[in-house]
Amino acid sequence: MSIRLHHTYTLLLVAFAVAVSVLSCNFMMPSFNYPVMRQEKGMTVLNVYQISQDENLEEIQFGFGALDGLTSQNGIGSPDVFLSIRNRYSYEGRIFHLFGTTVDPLERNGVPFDEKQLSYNTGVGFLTTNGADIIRITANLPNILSNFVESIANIEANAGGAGSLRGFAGNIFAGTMYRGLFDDGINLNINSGGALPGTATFATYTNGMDTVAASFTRLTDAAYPDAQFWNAGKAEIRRFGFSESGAFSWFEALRRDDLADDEEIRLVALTDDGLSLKTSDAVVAGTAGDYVLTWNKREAPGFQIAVLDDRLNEVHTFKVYGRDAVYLGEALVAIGGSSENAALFAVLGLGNVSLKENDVYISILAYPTAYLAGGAP
Amino acid sequence: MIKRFAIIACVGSLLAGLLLGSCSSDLKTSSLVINQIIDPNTSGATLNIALSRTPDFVGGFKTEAAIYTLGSAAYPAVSLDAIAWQGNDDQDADAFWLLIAWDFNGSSTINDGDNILPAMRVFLEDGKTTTIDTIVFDMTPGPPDRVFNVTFTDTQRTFNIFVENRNLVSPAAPMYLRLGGNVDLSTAAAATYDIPITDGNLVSGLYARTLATNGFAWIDLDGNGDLSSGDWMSTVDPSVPANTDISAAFNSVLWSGQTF
Repeated sequence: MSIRLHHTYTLLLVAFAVAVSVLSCNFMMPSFNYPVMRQEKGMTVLNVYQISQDENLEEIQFGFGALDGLTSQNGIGSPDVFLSIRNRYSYEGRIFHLFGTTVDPLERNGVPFDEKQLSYNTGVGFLTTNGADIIRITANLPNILSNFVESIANIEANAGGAGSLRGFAGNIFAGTMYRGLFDDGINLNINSGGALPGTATFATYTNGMDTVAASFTRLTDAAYPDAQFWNAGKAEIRRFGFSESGAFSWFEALRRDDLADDEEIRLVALTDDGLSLKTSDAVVAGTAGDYVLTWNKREAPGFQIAVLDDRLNEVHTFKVYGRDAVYLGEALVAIGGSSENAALFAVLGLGNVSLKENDVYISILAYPTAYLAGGAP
Repeated sequence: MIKRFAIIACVGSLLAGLLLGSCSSDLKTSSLVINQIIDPNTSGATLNIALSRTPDFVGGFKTEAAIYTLGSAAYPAVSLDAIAWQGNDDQDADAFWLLIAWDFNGSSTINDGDNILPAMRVFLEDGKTTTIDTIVFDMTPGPPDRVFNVTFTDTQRTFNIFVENRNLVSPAAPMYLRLGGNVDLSTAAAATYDIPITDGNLVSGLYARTLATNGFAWIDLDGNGDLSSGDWMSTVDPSVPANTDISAAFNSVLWSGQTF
């Protein structure tokens, strides 16, 4: 009797151990498969695209997402979208061009471009960089096409001694369409211009990169003695953007310990009057209206976005729901019969529970910029 | 009672094992020791040493770094202990790049005008110490120069080098990377750079920023300081232009079957 009881205890304990082990990596990880998930008040579905995938959908997620500059300002419907989708086995995502009711897969065709530094001007496609030049990526079936816009060296040469270009963005809703973040070795300078390559400095932040470097909390200079000589740039600038109407620029500064595979990211906001440089550990999504959007929670099914002002104060939060979500940018779109500026997101849904052959649903969602300060009425 | 404790202990360890196993980390730990760094003609210069996943001197955020003053009595010269690196579960070793520079222009940061050795690939093993006996950082003016005075906009060149027996490489028999603009590089005087690598742990890969159009690798087996009969070299003839085109050196083999 006693031995049988011990066996029962043992089996129960083993079952408990297995259950705890399994739960430790799966607890609160819901399995859900809705093609188009219900969204919160104020969110409008502009378009839904169905893509038949012949690839494994395990851990399927977005890579990058970007808006087409030309159609983002016409206000008559959903603008054209470029985005990539990848699964757990792919390093680079498959690129798609979504326009009207059509989806075109695009081959990369060996075209190098930075998938983080995305912005747009009034032209077709989106702006990014290949490391040496500002380029425009467009669709040229069956491939993507890289069009030269301006060399970084030429932009630096025409920046009035502002220094090295460390971030660049276009914004079709700004009166002066382009801004650059320059580092002269001591100060950070924000330049703007309406036609490349010329830009002029309008705000300077004295010892700006030193302030940014000092804001890191884990990958600090003190934690890595003797390393200052090697960290000349003090941090990598991964993304840059601006809101002219909100009177500020922002960038994402990154320090990465590539040995330990550890990284720390700081969001930096610079007011246009040159008086305020604020940093935060918020994870940036992009610019919309007078604000910068950040991901408060980036985990399916509820992706929470925080709306931050020019001093990185949170003014509002809202959610998008899906298997994955990516911020596309701001566009003038048709909502309820009128044209409104809105923050656009793409969210991912699946057709059924199979993780093999399946269809992927991409919904293009619009959240009016008028709601960013306080939500939908 | 003892049996119950045994069962509980056994199940407890199973539970811990499953938990740890289900959330295992792939963090590895290695150490790198450089016994000595020498310049035969200079002392007092402070060298900066860093270990990186990439050979890029100016990019990224370097976290493993040390300084060493040439001529210092410190021995070993540099110890990078408990280097934490990320690897796969079954991975025992991985490649890193050793960067060494002198702040020639006094800017306090790595930039154009500094003296550097080419980035040198080194393999570290999990739980072990890799020891490099001697590194030569010879700033004696050339030609040929023994270190680069670097311009980081120059062309990036990576040299993958297979050495039949890397244990032959030592301060007495260095491996050299000879670079220049001349098509005939059979004499040191014709070269712009003849950079010595004096430890077998550092010869598998070199990375440089250079405008040199010609070059090759060779091992000074007799230790006489210049290419001479019996030395191994990566070209069949260092006086033939096509053989010394720098692209021929990107994947080099140094072995007993190809000598000067």
